Amino acid sequence: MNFRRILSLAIVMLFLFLGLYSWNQRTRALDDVASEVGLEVLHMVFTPLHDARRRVEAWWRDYVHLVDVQRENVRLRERVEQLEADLLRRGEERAELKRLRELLALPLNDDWQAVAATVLTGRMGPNAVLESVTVNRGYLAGAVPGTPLLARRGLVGRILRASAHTATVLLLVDPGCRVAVRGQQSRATGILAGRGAQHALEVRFVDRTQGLTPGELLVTSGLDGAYPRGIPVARVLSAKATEYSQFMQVRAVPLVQMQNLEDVLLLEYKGILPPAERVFEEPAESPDSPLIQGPEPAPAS
Amino acid sequence: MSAWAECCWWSVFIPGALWVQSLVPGLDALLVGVLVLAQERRWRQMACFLPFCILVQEGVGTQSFGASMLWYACALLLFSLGRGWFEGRSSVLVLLVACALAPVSVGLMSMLASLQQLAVDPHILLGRSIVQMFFLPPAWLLSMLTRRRIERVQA
Repeated sequence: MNFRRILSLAIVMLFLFLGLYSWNQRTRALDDVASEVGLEVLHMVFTPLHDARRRVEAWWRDYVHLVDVQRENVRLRERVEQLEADLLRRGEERAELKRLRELLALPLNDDWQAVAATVLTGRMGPNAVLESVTVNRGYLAGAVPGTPLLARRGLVGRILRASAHTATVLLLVDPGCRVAVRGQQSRATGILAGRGAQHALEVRFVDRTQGLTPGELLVTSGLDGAYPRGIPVARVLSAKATEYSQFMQVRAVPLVQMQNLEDVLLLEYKGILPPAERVFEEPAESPDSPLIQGPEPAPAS
Repeated sequence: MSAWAECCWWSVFIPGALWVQSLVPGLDALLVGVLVLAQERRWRQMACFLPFCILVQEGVGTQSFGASMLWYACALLLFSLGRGWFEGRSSVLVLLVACALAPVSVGLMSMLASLQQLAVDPHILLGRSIVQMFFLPPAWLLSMLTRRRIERVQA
C-alpha cells in the first residue's frame, strides 16, 4: 500500500469517526455497549483473580505467618474487654439519643440502604483519565450512576458508569467531582472540589464570616441532592480569609486514603422520590451503619 | 501455529494484559496483541480482536466512546507507514512505533479530554505515554518469543 492510499484511507476513516463520535455524543449508545462489554470482561477476569488472592492471603495469614500471634492474642483480649465496656456505655447513650429524637419528632431516614462492595482495580486502560476505581457491584446490585460510595472513614465518591456486575467509581479527589459540604462545628457551607490525587481538596464559596477553622470535620450537607446529609468527607487543612474576596481559601484532606481502598459501601436509594427531588434527613441509625460510628482520626497531613 | 495453540496463547495473553493494565494506570497492554496480529498479517483474527480491544478499553475507561478507536487507528497507521521502510517483524519498527505513539497518546487524550470538557493533568498524560513507550518493545518481544517457541515445539 503506498503512502497516498494510506493517507486517503486515513482521511475517510477520520470522517467516519467524527460522524460516529457526534452520533454517540447525542445517543450514548456506544458508551452503553462499551460499558457493558468492558466492565463485564473485567468482572470475568478480575473476580476469580481477586478471590484467589484473598484465599492465598488468608492462608498465609492463618497458617504460615504466625509470628507474635500469642502476644497479639493477649493484646486483643484486653482490647475486646475494653470495647465491651465501651459498648455498654455507648448503648446507654444511644438509647438516650433515640428517646430524645422521638421527643423532638425528628424523622429518621431509612431511605438509604448500604450494600457492601469490593474494589477490583484502580484506574485502568488508556481511556481512564479521571481518578477512578472499579468495584464488583453493578446495576443489578443497585450501583446505578450517581450512587454514593463510602469507606469506613467517610465518603469515597459516586458511581460514574455501570454494567450488570461491575461499576466505575469517580473518586472525591478527581477535579470533576463536587460535593456540597458543611463544617461540623461551625455549620459553614461550601462546595468541596477535587484537584487530583496529588493535591489537597478545595472548599469553595465558604463565607468569610462563618468561621471555618483548620482541623474541623466536613460532612455532606445534602444540599446538592446527590448525597445523604451527615457523611464525614474531609478534614480542613487550612482556612484563610483574603482581603479581596468574601469567600475563604480553604484546603482539606479526604478522610479516606484513596490509594488503599479495598472494601466500600454503596448507598442505594430505596425511597419513593428520586434523590434530587427530596429533602434529606439524617442518615439511618442501624447498628451496622458506618455513618453513626463517626469518623476515625484523619491521616497525618 | 495450530488453532488450539493459538486459542491457548490468546486465553493467557488477554487476562495477563488486563492484569498488567490494572497494575499500571493508563497503560494499554492489549496493543501488543494488535501489533502482533498486524505483523503476522492475521487480518481475520484482527477483525475479531480489534473491536474487542476497543470495547474493553472504552468500557473500563472514563471518557466518552471514541478515544480507543483513534488510538488503535493511529497505532495501525504508524505501523503501516513504518512497514514501507522496515521489515514487518523488525524490532526496530516496533521501537519506532512505540516512540511515535508517545506524542500521539498525549495529543489524542488532551484533544478528547478538552472536547468533553474534562480536567486532565498534562503531567499525568505525559508520564503514562512514556510508560507506554517503554512497555511496548519488551512486551512485544516477550509475546513474539513465546509464539515462536510454541511454533518450534509444534514443528
